[in-house]
Amino acid sequence: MKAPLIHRSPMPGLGLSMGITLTMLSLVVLIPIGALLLKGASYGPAGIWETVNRPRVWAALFLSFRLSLIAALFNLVFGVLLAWVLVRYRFPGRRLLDGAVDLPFALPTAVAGISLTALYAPTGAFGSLADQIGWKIAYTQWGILIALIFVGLPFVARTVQPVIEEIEREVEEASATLGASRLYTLRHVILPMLMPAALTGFALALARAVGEYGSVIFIAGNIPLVTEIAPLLIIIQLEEFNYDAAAAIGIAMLLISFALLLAINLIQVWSRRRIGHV
Amino acid sequence: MQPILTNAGTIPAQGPHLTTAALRRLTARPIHRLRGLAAGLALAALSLGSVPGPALAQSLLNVSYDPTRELYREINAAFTAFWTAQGNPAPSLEVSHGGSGSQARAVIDGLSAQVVTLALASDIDRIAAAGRLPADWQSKLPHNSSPYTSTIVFLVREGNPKGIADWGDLVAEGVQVITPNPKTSGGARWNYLAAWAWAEKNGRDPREFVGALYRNVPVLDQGARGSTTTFAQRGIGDVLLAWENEAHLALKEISEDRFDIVVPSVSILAEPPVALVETNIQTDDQRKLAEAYLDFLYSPEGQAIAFRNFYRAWDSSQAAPEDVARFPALELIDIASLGGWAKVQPEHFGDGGIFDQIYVQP
Amino acid sequence: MSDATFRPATEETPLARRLLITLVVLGLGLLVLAPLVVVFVEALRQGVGEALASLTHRDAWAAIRLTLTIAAISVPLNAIFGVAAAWFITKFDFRGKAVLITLIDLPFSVSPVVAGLCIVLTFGANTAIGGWLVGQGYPIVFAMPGIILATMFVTFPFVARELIPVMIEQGRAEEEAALTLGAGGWRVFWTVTLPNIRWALLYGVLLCNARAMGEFGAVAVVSGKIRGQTATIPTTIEMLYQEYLSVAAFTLAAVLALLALVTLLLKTLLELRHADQLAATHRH
Repeated sequence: MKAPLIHRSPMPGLGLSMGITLTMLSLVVLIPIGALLLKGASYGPAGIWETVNRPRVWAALFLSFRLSLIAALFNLVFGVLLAWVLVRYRFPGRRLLDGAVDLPFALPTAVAGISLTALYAPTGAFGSLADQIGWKIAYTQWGILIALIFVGLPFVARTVQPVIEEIEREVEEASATLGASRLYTLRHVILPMLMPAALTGFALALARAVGEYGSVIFIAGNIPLVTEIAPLLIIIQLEEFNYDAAAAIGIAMLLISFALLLAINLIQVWSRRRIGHV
Repeated sequence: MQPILTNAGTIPAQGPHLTTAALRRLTARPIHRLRGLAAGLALAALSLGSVPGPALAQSLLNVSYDPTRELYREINAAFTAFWTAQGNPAPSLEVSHGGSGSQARAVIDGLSAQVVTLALASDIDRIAAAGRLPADWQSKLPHNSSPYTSTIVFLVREGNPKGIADWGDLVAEGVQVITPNPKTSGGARWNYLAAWAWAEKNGRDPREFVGALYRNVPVLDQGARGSTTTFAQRGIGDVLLAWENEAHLALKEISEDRFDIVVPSVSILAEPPVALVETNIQTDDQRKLAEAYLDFLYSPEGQAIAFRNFYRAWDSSQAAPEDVARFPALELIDIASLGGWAKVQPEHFGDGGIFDQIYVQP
Repeated sequence: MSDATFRPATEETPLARRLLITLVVLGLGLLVLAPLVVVFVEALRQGVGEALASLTHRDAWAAIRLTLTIAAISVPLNAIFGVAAAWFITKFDFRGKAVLITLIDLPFSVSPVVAGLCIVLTFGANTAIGGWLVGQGYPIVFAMPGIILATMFVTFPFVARELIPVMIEQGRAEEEAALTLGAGGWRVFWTVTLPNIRWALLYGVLLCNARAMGEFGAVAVVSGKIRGQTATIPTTIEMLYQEYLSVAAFTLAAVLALLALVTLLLKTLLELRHADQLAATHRH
């Protein structure tokens, strides 16, 4: 029993919404990425593997994905806290904080990189403090991590915020009436409701961090095998007019990111089904 | 002394090949094209303020590399005065700056520059290989088409606390060297080659020496300016390997008394070349303008501007004496004696080349 | 806590509250507000006059105009896409939904530099499509269309990604009820769906707009960086910074941050003005 491709539905607008979605997706995203894949195909899988299968490329890919994962996990926890505080609590300066959350989007990445480096370099305000306890931040993996946390910060907070606003107080009251402690309610009632949105934000923060170039490049030392990120390798290949190798590394990153995102989206679909939405 | 433009008559005329559509593309000021679309939108009032469009063929785009910003700002002003004094309408001169390699790539991918002024001959060779200018472009203008040259010197912290005098001191234990990444910066390739040349001259194994040097580098920036900032503003490193003009400019722009310039015994003769991009010339008038622009770089006035901007130019007849006296004599090795760019580029900086091996081998 | 005051069971203890607020303020302060302060301090280093003077330059104005034009074109297009995609994904059941959502997310995982590369590989003068378009007199790369495409690529998922979780949360019951009562498709959308998603939509458009104005990596690859012509605010900032004109660079960065703050203010005002209206629609 094969499921139909699209279930019949009384909802209107199937043709229009599908048309716009698929046309624009193709024009803006799929065709350009197709061109990249085509470039890779003309290079051949063996060529791609040969380009990627080098210690330096592996080191950069591993570094990019490892630090991005740590940054996204930090943003997952911090973002949920942030959204909760911004929606539920009233305190002076709340609107200011609310506005500040979007700043990482608004500041050009290069400006963010320059500002962060100015702050966290040994001559900077925070960097000099850290330097006194022998903690070097800029030009080490710590610096990269801070830049990645910065660029991914708004994602989780902004996806979770509307969901918290939607939560009816009655749910929490019911839980409290049934004798649950506040912590229990938060963990077993509220958190599961936030999870799909939080995971979405997590996925976006992760993906954004993996591809980030502009802000990281200023604060990373860019030393091969130590602080060299994967997007930099692409730039290096481009400087040598080596479009094939650039496309190869780009494709490798794309595949890993796509696999990660797909996994997260599947977890989401599965968790929604379990909770009973959709 | 060679005549300034040996071959103005021998450049094949490309004009007739161009279709009208191609002409339109080359002269297009694309920003204006979408105005109709923008008009309906909310921000139209703000966005429609006009950028005055210059007359056809009186515009020129010079695609250049990073450290020449100040130089070409001054050249453009002087050339405009020179050009209008000859009874021509004021030209619209645009300059685009970036890493030498990525700028060359932009021209190959269709950026319609009439003139390129890049850091390395090998970058212009790439553009020639794509068919945009003749392969023998470098013989078209005097001095290998390099109207000005520079070299690589050291910038150290005030008083030179680590006592750095020559290349050999850079590999000492505990010395931190700041230089950009040769893979992304044209200037950094000159740095690398200068170190290589010194080692060859002084009986050191150049491969080992350069390897030891780069192991003392804590930060590899993308370009020369990035390295200068890391060294000067962020306080990282003991010595910055820099273009001579960058080092002087840093003294002028950032601080006179926080840094000293150290000139090594041997360095490299860096020749940043210029060329006319044949396929992007649309009219005879524009060709005249572009040729006059390149010739102007070789004129006594243009050369004086290059001197003033800390470049080692050729003709000092109109230059201020103190601009010329600034440059100490040192032994300069040219790229030809290392085998020329065609050999050096793939061998040292290509994928898996000698530079890559520094980091991969234990 | 000796003064045991009444605390509703649906709130955290005051201690926990204070702790959480401190944590959040500290985190945001160190990571986000501090860099912003750096931008303004650097911009005003030589006084307000110097900062304002740097803005009157022709190239600065051209960059601001170009960036606003690009945002004015790419953001509405992405908003239309976002609403259509969210509707398609949440109102219908079909196979491959997770794949489609992942494809929409894809631009986030593509390094902006690679995004620029993709557009050059598709529309560059050396490609089939690009060569033909250039022949027709419509260059894409190193012209405005290329910058718009790059901007749209980078900001593509924002609106859709804001709308999808909210629309899933709300389900289809309200729309189904309206349909049963005989309302047409557009009427259902305007009177039932849109009021429910307006804040998420606004958030999405806002983020999309902020990111569109601030995009650097992808635009740098396709713009050619010609002053006064194809240099956007971020590329101009980078160029000014490279020229040691850090006051001018950071002033322009401050302008960009202020533009973002203005859109935020606009959002807050909208929220305040329409609060009662919004409450009314909720009460029916």
